[in-house]
Amino acid sequence: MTQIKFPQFPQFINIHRFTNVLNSSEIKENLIKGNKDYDFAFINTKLIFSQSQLYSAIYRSLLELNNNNLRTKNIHSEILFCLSPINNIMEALKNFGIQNSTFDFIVIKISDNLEIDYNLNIINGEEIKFEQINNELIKFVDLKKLYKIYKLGTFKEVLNNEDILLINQKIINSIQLRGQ
Amino acid sequence: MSDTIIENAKSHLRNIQVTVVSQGAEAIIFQTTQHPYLPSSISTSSESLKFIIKYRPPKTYRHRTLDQQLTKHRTISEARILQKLTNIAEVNAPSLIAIDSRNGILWMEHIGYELANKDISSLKNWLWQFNHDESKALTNEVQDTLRAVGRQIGELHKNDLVHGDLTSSNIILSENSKAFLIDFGLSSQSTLNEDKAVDLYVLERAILSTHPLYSYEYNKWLLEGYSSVFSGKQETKLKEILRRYEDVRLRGRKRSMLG
Repeated sequence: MTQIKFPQFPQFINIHRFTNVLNSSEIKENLIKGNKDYDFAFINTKLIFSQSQLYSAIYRSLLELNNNNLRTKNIHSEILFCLSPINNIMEALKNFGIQNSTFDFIVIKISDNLEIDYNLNIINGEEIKFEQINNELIKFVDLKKLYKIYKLGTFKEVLNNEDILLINQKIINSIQLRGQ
Repeated sequence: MSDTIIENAKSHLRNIQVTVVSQGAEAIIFQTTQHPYLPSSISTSSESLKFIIKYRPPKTYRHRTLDQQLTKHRTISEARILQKLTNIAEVNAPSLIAIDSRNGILWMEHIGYELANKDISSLKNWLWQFNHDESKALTNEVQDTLRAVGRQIGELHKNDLVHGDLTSSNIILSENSKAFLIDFGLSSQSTLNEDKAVDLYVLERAILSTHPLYSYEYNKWLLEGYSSVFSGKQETKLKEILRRYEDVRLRGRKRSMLG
């Protein structure tokens, strides 16, 4: 687990990374039912290109929370919505959330407390280290889908450092300016 | 007055250590070493560990609702221009980090370095170093720099964007001597030759008053750089802009209100 905090906001951000998860469909069902034990953001690793992408979306959702301006029902769904470049909430949850077949995802819990006061037994999978290094996440990305969702232009399979920085910046622009 | 503005800004930027860089009529610029959401151990797009916060304070003389709308609108439109510039590889501009449009806050990448006299490396300060020393003020290096700046403006105009406030202090030189355009607060999208000509005219006047000793050469080199990016079919476009520029020079920035 990685715990972070943004200086401007009082909340703690706990980030877990899971792989080889076997019960995604069960998790999804409970999310739809609104089960309180599943109050986390489940994010498909396949669309997380970089740490700054993820953090930028969390930053925006915390900003909306602290401005009393949430557009979705809670902070966790807001994170998924903030990752999306378009204003359609359902579409955002579909793209960035988990599907029945998702076996690798990132779980985020926004908490007022420093201590961990929840358990993740609901997930039948293996918890691994959340990579803090920017370029580590790219390995797991479905680049084609990323290009499509963020409208990144002509698809390029092999990315050099400059491409990575540019894509990263385009994604941050989209996240920060969505709906504005 | 400015103390209350700073207090106001700090209430929206809790736990962020800021220092004032400059203040204009519309906004106040802060600098900080704290990234809003990335831990300091991670290097961002550039290696710089400084960030710029542009804060548009509420204007108490305006009606509250109107003021909030204007602030929000202006913050967003500036951010949108920065977004567009990300897609234009030829134009160097700071990248966007975060926006809090409700509170009029824009986070951007920090550009530039400290000159020998501790001033920021804006074109103005950079050129002022050579004041009163003709052997330094008119070197090839200065010429190359001004041409590079001219090219930046040319590329901006080619993409139908106008800056709106071109002055030598709104151009920043980076350590690897690339020219960056900053402050897109008055910037907009426009296909009109008039707007582009006015942009050039504003720059000419700014150079004339900020660098009067060498303004003739400086303006000449800027315009050379500007013209050099228009090639082939675009040359007709350039001619039209330059023709309009001559007109604007005769009458000034504002069109006659008579008739």
